[in-house]
Amino acid sequence: MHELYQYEFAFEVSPVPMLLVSASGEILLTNSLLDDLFEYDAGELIDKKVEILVPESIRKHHPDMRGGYFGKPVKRNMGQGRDLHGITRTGKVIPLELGLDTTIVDGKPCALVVALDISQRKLHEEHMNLAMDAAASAMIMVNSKGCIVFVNKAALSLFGYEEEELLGSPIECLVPDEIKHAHPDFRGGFMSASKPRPMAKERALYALHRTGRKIPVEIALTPVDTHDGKMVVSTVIDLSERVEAENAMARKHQEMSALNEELMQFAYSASHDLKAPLSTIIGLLELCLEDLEEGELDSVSEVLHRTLRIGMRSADKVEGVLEIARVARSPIAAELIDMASMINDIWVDLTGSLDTSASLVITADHDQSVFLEKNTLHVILENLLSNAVRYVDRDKERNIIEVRSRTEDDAIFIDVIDNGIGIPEESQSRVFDLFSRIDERSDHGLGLTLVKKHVDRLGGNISVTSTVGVQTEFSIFLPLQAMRKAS
Amino acid sequence: MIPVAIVDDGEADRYLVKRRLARSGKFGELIEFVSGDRFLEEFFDGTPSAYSRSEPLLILMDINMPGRDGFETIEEFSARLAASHRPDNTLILMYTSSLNSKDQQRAREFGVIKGYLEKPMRNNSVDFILGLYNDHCAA
Repeated sequence: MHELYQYEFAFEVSPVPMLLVSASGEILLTNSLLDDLFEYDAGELIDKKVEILVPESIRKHHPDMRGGYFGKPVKRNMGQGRDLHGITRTGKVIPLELGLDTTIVDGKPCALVVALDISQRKLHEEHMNLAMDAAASAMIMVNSKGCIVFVNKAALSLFGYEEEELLGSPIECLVPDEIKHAHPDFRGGFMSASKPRPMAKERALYALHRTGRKIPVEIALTPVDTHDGKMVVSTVIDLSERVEAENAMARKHQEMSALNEELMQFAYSASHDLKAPLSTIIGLLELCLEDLEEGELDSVSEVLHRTLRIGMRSADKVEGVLEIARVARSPIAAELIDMASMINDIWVDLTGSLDTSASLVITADHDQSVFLEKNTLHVILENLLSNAVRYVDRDKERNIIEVRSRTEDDAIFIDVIDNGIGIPEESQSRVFDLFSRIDERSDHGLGLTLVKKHVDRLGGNISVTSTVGVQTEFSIFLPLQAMRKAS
Repeated sequence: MIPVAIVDDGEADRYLVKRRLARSGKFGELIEFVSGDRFLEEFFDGTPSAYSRSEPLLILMDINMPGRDGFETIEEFSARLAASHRPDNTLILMYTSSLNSKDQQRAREFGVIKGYLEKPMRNNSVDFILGLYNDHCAA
């Protein structure tokens, strides 16, 4: 039991602003520090409703809140977890920290309120936050319980959250599942050691995006002592781009290696295969000179003719290699092609000068023309058909070469099937290799290399199945959709 | 007179060998094969007189050929010869324009390959062959 006057002295010597409020909200007593804080004259606030000091936005609800407090009065801070504000006589809003206690004055319950002006602290915090927001790296401050008390803008955009979703949440919501369990222990360990250090120095570190995506990160931990106790600031650096760049670099490196290997292979094959006829020509010409010295003119003539034939064949081969090298990377304009008539034209060209017993069967189960690069398709079919004609099995009564084609979902499937001599299994894997010749009937070993290069360029696929003595089937798939886009 | 088998898919290369060897006058019957398979077929299933002479058969083997290459042909040849219990009365030389050091290395690793002859066949190539052949007969 106290009398009001007993408080008057205590209020005046108090180093902090204070006021005494009755259960019905009347201000009973203020000290001069409080009057000054709220810009009122001494005693001016007495008998006014305490709501005069409450900002407009919550003034309406305040009597209820006040009533609630008197219903269950304990000593506590007001508005825990939220920012509190007061309003001065001139309408200035000031951030406050308020302490509440109850007491009985003149026989009635009253609230004893300590109001601390935290403008300076707030200002300081704001500066801190501004600075942290300005930082390019994501920064998160966590209290000793592991709850997030601050996130900067970079952190919000990195993790895909809104500020209010993260504030108060455990930091583990940003930790991938596999270490979520162990993380609180790690955190505790750091809190007690509390020296700045990078997190998980030895292994790759990931943070969890809101969508569940794992982000490769680098994290530095710094302990800070704040007004609200010990905290840890984590600076999170997003390594996605760096990792992506490293991966891209590794991919490029692999591509380059493969290309280099291919080039080496090509250089070796080409130099060998182009050197071989030159060696022969040198040998023949040496022989020719000797024949000439000995006056063997018939022999000279024969050797020269052989030399000439090899020279011409070599020129032809070089032309073939160049054609493969020339296969353009960029597409050529597509046009509508009548498959059946193209195949027939090729057949006439191939067999016109030949005495072949082979007969051609064309099966196309699409009525419309197809939209493709005409010359390319011509080269592909011409090579496959000429191989089929070259490798007919003369022991068979009928030599049949069949071309089947069908379109399906913007793709064309073409099969060239012959009942010729077939390709031995051990040779099937290298029929598309440069200079790969299967037997003495083979030409330069360039045709199927050229075909495959064209098919690959068009985004298609070619494969071969064959049984010696029975049949050979080349199957091609070419996307038609790509052609439309290309045109 | 030395019996000779030349296994080479190049017609002109076979012609060169034929002419060069003929000039020396020391070589007898010469049989030409366009591939390793043809050679194996003839050697094991045919009956040309060249294989049954008392003089060792000189085999000039190209490396790069369609179908079985020179090495594969020799592997198969050795295996079939061993299986047939026929005496090995041959001298095998590689005859190639291959620049590949791997090919030369591989030739050295084959016990049955006694020499590596680079194309084209020249006059001194014939001397080289005769030297090897005589050493082989003396051994």
